[in-house]
Amino acid sequence: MVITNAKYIKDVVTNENYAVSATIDGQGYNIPMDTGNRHYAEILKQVADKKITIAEAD
Amino acid sequence: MAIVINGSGTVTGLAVGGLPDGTVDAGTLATNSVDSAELIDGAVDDSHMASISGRKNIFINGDFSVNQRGLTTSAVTATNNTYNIDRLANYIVGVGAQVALGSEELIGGTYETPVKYTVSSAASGRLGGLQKVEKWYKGQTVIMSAWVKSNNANARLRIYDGSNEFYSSTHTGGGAWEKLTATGTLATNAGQLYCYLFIVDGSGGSVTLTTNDYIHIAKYQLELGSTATDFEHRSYGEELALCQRYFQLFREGAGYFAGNGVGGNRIDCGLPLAVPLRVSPSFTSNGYLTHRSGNANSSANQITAGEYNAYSNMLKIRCGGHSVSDEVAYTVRISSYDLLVDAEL
Repeated sequence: MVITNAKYIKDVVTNENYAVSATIDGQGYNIPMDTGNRHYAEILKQVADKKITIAEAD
Repeated sequence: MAIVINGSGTVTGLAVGGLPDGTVDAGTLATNSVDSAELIDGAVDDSHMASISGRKNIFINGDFSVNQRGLTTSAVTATNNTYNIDRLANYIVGVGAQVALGSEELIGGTYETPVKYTVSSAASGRLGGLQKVEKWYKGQTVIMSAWVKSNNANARLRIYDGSNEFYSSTHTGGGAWEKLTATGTLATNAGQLYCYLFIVDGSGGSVTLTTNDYIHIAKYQLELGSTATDFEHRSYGEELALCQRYFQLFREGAGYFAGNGVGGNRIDCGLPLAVPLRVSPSFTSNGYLTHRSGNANSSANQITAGEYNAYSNMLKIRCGGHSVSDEVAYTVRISSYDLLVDAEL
């Protein structure tokens, strides 16, 4: 997967990150932080491989 | 004597082995010649029922009857590891490719709508699709079969469990429908079960692909055991429910969901699922908006999943980009585009 523009989404109440938005193979996604989710699993893998970083939430 | 015939020409005895293999087939058994009264208990045991029992296809949507994503006969660009039709992931490496749903045609005795992959830009590469199977069937023997049509003599099937791989023989490349099979015993420590239908070399590597090389796929099936039987057509309703564990589609404008304002810019509401999802899903940002009571749209297509439960038909979703009052009730519907809920493998 080619992942770009990965960015956390923050909970307005708890102020904690709960999801990631990213463009994957040219398609935008909103992705839960669940390691069973194939998109999030790939994001974590590419972060570990230092291919991408996840930007902080706005 | 293997067969005993009396003076009137009536068969009165039959020794074990008196009828060699192949002697009795569908053509020699007249209708109703063997009924239940003539089959004593244990006459046909479980080991001989595999070929006629139901629910034998481990693959889901093996006949492409379920098409929630709306693949049509008009070819679209196929991207690696994405889905254009339920449960079949694209496997596109090195080349540009397109995918389409074929028109109904007679394939192996039944009318089917195949999926068609075609090379759109030549290169060294790999072309086809795969189904990722959720259960890994560790230590069990499986057999994969499919009807394949190709103009490339490197089209084949592959079963891969993370360590072992099993290939079928290749398609002739003659452009006709051929049934291919691959079988093997999966590792006791299998870490996945990916089953491919693609054009690759004999070890899964790239081959020279030219523009308009193609592989068409129909009636793909994975069974326990080492005998490939005829394709099992399940009912559409059953197949759809199986697919919806991995992907669900909510049409634009279809229904209102009850929600609650959270802070100043989010509405949390319940999304009624057809069946519980495999995992907390991704939502495709395809341009949809959420429209809330009070006649206001969200400023962004930002739905995210929350409170996922593997056994629940209700998923809490967070709809961002709104201007709302905290702890006030709102209704929400999907606007502009369909909502795509993706829990695929």
